[in-house]
Amino acid sequence: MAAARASIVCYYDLISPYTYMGFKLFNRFRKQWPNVDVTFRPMLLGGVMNEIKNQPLFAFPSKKSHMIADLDRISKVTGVPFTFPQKFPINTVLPMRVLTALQVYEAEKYEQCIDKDEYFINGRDISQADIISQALSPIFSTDTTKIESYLQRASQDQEIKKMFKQYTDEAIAKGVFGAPTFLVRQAGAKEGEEMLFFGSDRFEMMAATLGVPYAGLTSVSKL
Amino acid sequence: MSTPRSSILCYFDVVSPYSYYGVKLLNRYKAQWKNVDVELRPVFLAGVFSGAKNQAPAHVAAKGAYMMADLDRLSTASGIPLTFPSNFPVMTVPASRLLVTIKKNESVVTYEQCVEKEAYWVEDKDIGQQEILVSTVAPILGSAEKAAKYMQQTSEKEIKQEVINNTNDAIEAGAFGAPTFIIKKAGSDEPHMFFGSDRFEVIASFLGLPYDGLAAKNSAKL
Repeated sequence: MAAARASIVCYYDLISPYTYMGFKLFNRFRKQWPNVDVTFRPMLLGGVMNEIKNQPLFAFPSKKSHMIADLDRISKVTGVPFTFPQKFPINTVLPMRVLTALQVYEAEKYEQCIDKDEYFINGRDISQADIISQALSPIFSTDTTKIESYLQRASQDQEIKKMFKQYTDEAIAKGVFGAPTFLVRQAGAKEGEEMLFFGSDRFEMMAATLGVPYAGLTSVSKL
Repeated sequence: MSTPRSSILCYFDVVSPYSYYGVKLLNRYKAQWKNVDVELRPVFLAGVFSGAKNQAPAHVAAKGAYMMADLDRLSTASGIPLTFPSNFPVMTVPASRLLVTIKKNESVVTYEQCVEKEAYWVEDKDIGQQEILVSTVAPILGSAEKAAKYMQQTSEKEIKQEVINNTNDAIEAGAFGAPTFIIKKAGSDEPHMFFGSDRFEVIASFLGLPYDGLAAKNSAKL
């Protein structure tokens, strides 16, 4: 039997500014990592925080100020656009359940749907169904009724709700305490041999661990 | 007129593993950075946490567990040795006061060697104990008497106040943990606060300096 390929599972929640930045950076860097399998797993960050009695960054004024300044600087260095939204935080249960449904039913379009700039560039309130609709319509241009069906699933489909809760519980069980979190498995590693990397600032270390190239933050725009 | 210089002020506490890495990495990178002034100032981390209404990461079990794995991987990636001490945390106010005393009386090179000494983060010494602190710095100072004398001076009001002042300055600058870097671009008095030992790539770009990466280069030991 062939040895398992290296893999990275990214636990994310759209509420998190560092998830937004991490997602953008990760998608650039992984262009140079073709032999690494990548999965994006939705979770409810608030649910994780409550369970493990952690507190979000924005609960601390000086941490929040730093976060905004930090992301502004990272934006300048990398060229990834970033604008801290006026309405923050918001409840992301609805969009995250929509993404859970998309993960199941629209595997090919799923990642595109995560990669939207609605909140952290355009400042739109993605907790609202109409904003979610607008965001997804370019991707489902030929079949916008599908968007309605996924919004419905997000609020009414017990299987989808259960799956989203399960992903969140799974994250907690694996030691996740924030977002984004990357669970990294080296090629040939056994089941359960995963390394947890937290944050949007561990890509150099991740690359060193996997033996893959790290292009650097100033090269992101060229990737 | 001489070339304008940028500045990096690092607030650290030797109890903090990320301060340990932060100082080691900063001293490594600055060897290649022209026209940058670097200064290390000890703070009382518990005071910074209190001032920012923050807590140590290990307060949340999952964060504490993560930190251990992260520190280990950082050691492998950077080539900087670290063995988590058997007694953590320790009270590092005496250590901070001693470092302030050394800073006042010795050269920058000597002071920085004392800051970087791996007594806690490699040798697992109990740096909460005065005798340990004295025996740690004595070889660097070249004199056991001097080390003992400086240790005595740590009870002076001026020395105690300096650690307090550093701590308050850090809090005022927006610090909530350690290491905290206050950075000023050449020709500008505007301070920019960077937190963590994992921002050197961003700092380098911010200051228009080269970033050499985490991996240790095969360089001769100084």
